[in-house]
Amino acid sequence: MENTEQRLSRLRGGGDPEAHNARTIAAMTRNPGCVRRAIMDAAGVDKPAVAAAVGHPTSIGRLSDFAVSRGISFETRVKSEGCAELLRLLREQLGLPVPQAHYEDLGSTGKGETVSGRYLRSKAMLDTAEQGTGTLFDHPLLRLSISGVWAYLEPDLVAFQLGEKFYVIEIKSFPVIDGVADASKVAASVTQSAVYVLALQSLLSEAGRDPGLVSHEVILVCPKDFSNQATATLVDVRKPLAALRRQLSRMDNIAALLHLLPANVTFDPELPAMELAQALTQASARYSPECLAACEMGSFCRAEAKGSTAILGRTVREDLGGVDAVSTALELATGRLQPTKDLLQAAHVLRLAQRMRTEALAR
Amino acid sequence: MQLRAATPSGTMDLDLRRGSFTVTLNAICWKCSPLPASGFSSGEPAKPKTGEYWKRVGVWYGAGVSSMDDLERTISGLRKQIRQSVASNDHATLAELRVKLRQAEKQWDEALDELAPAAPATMSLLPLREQVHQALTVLTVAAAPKLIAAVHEAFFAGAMAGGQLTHLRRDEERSFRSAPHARPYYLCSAVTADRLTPVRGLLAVSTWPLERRVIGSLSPRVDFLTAAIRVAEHVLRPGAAGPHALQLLRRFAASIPGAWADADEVSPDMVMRAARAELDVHDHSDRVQRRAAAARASKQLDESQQLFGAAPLGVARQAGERR
Repeated sequence: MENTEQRLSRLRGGGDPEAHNARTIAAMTRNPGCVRRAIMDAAGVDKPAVAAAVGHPTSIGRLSDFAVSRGISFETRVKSEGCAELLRLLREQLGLPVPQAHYEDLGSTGKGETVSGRYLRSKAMLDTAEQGTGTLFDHPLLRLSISGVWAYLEPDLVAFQLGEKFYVIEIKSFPVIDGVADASKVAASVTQSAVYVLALQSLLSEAGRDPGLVSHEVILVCPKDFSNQATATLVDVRKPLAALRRQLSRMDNIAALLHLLPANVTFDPELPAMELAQALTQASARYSPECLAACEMGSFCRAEAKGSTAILGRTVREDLGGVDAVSTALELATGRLQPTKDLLQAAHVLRLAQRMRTEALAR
Repeated sequence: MQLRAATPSGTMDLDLRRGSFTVTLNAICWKCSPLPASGFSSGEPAKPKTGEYWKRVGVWYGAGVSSMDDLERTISGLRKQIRQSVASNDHATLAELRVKLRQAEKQWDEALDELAPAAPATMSLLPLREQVHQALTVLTVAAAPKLIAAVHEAFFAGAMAGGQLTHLRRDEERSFRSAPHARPYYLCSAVTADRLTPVRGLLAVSTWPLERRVIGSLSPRVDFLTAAIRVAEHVLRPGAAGPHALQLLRRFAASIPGAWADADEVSPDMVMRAARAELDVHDHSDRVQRRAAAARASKQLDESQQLFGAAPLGVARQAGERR
C-alpha cells in the first residue's frame, strides 16, 4: 500500500519537490478552494514546467531586473551603517529606546555554510535574545514545514525585539505617497510577512519559548513619497495569518484530497502534452481571474474555464449563482430559456441587465 | 585638461587649458595664474613674494566682482534708455543702444564664466590603497566601501568608485601572506566578535588595535557615531566644509537623535554633541564586548587571521577533511 509521501512523489514524477519560498507560500492563500493548486503545491510539482508542457508557458514570479535592483538598493540604503536609517525610523515612529541599538548580521557568510547551520545560528541567536541584548537581526533564516518538507525562508528583513515582542520588518521598494500605498502591493507584502511571522513563531516554539512573543503586527518600511527616504508603518497581519494557517493545515491533510484523484494520475512534466492535460483535468480547479497573477497554472485553467461564468470573476460568478455557463446566462437573459425555480433570481438580474443594454444601444 | 595630485601634506591642481596651477599645502595656498608662457615647460614659475599673492587674489576677485557690478549698472541703464527711445520713436539712437546692450551683455557673460569655479578634479594620482587609507584615517573606524568613497570625495581629491574596492582586501591578504609586514600598513578586515570571522563588506587598517577592529552587536552603532564625530571634526577644519563634506555630515546627522534642528542647516558642533550623548549610552557595553572578543582573538588566532579573520567553520571543516 502506497503511503501519502510516495503518492506525492509519484504525482510530481519522482525527483525532489520544488522548494517553496515566502512568495509561493503566500500565493497559496489566494485561492483556498482550488483542489488542483492544493495538490500540486503539496506535492511540490514543478508548476512552471507543467504549464509550459501543456502549452501555457508563464512568467509569474520572475521579477524584472530593474525592480530587483531597485529593491536591493533601497534595502541596502535602509540597512547601511548598522541600520542607521531604520533605527531613526523605529525611534521616531515606534518609540524604540535609545539603548537598544544592537545589530546582528545573521546573513550568509558565503562558502561552506550550510542552510541548516544558518538556521541553527539564527535559532540560537533569537532564542538567547533578551531585552537589552538584541534589537535588530539581519537576514535570520527561518523555516516552515510545508506538507512535511522544510521550506527555508530568508526574510529580506529584520526581526527585532521592541519591548517584550518580536516584530517582523519587511522592507519594500514601492512608495507610500501621502500616506497611501498601492493596495495590492501592500496586501501581497502583508501576506508575505505573515509567512515570516508564522515561521518565527514556529522557531520560538521549537526553542521552547512562547510563540505569542511574536507580534501580530509587522513593520512595513517603504520609500516615502517620491524620495528615497524611508517611512515605517505598523500593519496588522492577523487575517492573512489565519488564512495561511488554514491553508497549511489543509495541506497537512492532503491525503483526503488525494483520494479524489484516480490512482494512476501523475503530473510529471515529461508526459506527452495531451496526457498531462488530461491528468490535470482530473483535479478540479476553481479558476478566477486573480489566479493569472498568482498561480503558474492560471493560463491553463482559464483556457479550461472558457465558456463558464467563472472566467468573468468572482463577483459575476456569485451574482449568477447556479448559472455555470455563459451560454446559459445569455439564453436566460434573452428569454430563450425559461428559468427553473432555483434560477429565478439570477434570471431576473440577467433580464434586467439585458433590458438596460438594449435601451442603452437604442439611444 | 585638469589634474589634481593629493598628498597627506596638501594638494596640487594643474589646469593645462588655462595654464594655471594651485598648490595647497594644508594651510598655505599658493596660486599662480596665468603661468608665464615659458613657465610651464622650462621649470619653476616665479613665486610671488609673501603677501603679494593675497593682494593679487583680492584684486583679481575684487576686480571681477566690481566690473560685474558696473556692467549690470550699464546694462540696466541701457535698457532704460532703449525704453525711452522706443517711447520717443527715436530709431537712430535705438539701433546704436541695442548694439551697446548686446556688447555689455556679452561682456557680462564672459565675466561670469571667469568667476565660476573650475569643475572639481575627478581623479587622484595616489594609488587606491593610499586613498582608502586616507579616508579610513579620517574615520578611525572600520567602514564600508560606500562610506569610504563618500569620505574620500568629501575631504580629498576626486571621486572614488566603491566597486573598485571589491578586490582590494583579497589583494592585501595575498600580499601579507607572501611577505608579512613588508608594507607599513595593510587594509584588512573587521572581525566578528562571536565567531572571529571577517565581517562582510567592512575595511579596516592593520595598524589599529585589534579591539577597534572587532565588531560586536553594538559596534555598528558605536562606529557610526564615532565616524559622525570624526567627520564633524574634519568639517570644522578651515577649508574643509565643501558641499560634499556637508552632504556627508547631513547624512550622519539625519540618523542621530538631536543632531539636526533646522531642515537646511547642519551644525558640526551639534552633530558632535548629539553623537557623543548617544555614544555615552552604548560605549561601555560595547567596549566590554570588544575587549573580551579581542582577548580571545589574540589567544586563538594567528597573526594573519587576526588581520583577515578566521575561516568560517564550514570552510575550516572542509579543509580538515581534505587533510
